[in-house]
Order: sequence, then C-alpha cells, then structure tokens
Amino acid sequence: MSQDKEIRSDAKLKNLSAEALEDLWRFRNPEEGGEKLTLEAIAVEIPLRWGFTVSLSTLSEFYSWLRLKRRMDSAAERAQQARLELAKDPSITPEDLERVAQTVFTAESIEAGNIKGYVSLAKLRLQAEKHELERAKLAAADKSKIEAGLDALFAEIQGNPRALKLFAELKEVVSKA
Amino acid sequence: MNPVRKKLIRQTLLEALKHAHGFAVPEESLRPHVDALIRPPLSNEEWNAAILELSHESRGLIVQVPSDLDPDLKQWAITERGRTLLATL
Repeated sequence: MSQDKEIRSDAKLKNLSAEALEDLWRFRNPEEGGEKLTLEAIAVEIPLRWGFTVSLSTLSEFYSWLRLKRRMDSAAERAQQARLELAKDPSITPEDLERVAQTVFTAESIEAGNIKGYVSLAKLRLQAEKHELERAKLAAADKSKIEAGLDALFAEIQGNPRALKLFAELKEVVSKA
Repeated sequence: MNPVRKKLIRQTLLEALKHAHGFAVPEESLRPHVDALIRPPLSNEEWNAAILELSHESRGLIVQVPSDLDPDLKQWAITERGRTLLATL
C-alpha cells in the first residue's frame, strides 16, 4: 500500500507543469546568490504549493529523474540547433542531417567526464586511420617501383619465349599483391 | 525475478527513452538513470535481460541505433510500439 502511495506521488511530481518543474529544479540548483533548499525543506514546500505530500526517498528519486530529463531536453535542443544549421546547406541529405543530429545528441547526453574519454577515443581512431592511409600510400609506392622494374626486365627478355612465360607468371603474382 | 521489479525496470527504461525526443540514448547515460530510480540498482544480468526482452524482434519496443561517434557505443531508441505499451502501463 505504501509502495502504491509512493508511485502515485512520484507520478504527480513528474506530471507537474514545466514551470513547476523549473521551480523544483531551482530549489536544488539555485541561480547565483540563491539559497539551495534541502530535500526536507522541499518536502514541506510541495504540499503548500501543489497540494500533495511526498516522502524524502520519492523526492530524491524524482531529482535523479529530473536531472536526466533536463539533460535530455538540453541535448535534444542542441541536436535540433545543429539540424537547423546544417539544413541551410542544400548538399546535405536528410539522412546525413539525422545522423549528425543523433551524434550531437549522443555527445551531449553523455556525462562531461565521459566526453573526454570519447574525444580521446575519436583522436586515436583518426590517428589509426591516418596510419592506415600512410601505409597504403607506401605500399602503392613500392608496387610502382616493382612495376617499373618489371617494365625494364620485359624490355630485356624480348625474344626469349621461356623468359617471357616466367615473366607473365611473375607479373600476375605482383598484380595480386 | 520479482515480477513487480521486472515491470518497474522495463517501465523506467521505456520512460527514460521516451524523454529523448525521438533520439537514441547511449547506455552510458541510460543505465545510471535507471539505476538511480530503482532500489537496489540493477545487476548486469537484470539490465541485459531487460534490454534483450524489450529489443527482441517479437516485441520491438526498443531498437538499437548505430553510433557515428563510436561504433562500439550501444544506444537505444523507443519505438512506436514501445510508446504505445508505455501508455498502458
């Protein structure tokens, strides 16, 4: 029974108007110079303002919920801003718009501490891609040198059918490398 | 698992995703939220079971969305079926 009562008061808190939710947020996160209220003080304030009572545990859980809701609202707002900004570019497809908006939302919704980890991860990934690109360039340069050597060899063995046959096999191996 | 707790976990997870304005939420943000609202916090087994059940093809209440930020990042979005179910809970 007490659990039912808690669920009801929790739902009442969550369903308060946006203005009331802002007031409740400010109680715990006052603007500069404001007084931060304790959960006990807020539990006294709620029945006076909105006409129902809440337990301290319900109030504590409600603030966890409100923190996430605000973070998601803020992340969605940033993602929407990015979407509107990018939409000015006619070359961006709707699919790309959605992908970028989702990436902004993801980055914004992750705790600030974790973002640093993701930035480091992204940098490492970029470095790995750069190394892979350089390795591919070096391999391509090596292949060009081998092919130049083969051209010179081909000129040398003209008129020698056995050497030409071996050359064809060698060239096939190089082209597959 | 206690069926009341099981229902509460699924409901809390769907509610959290509903607040994401249609975006997918990374597990790094989603799990701490669910943990903060459910006492005691979820075990890994409970979390995995909830995700598996909600995302199972036959239910399709949530869907995994690939991340461009990090391909290894798991993130989830609520589906229309998920919203419909949540409204009845």
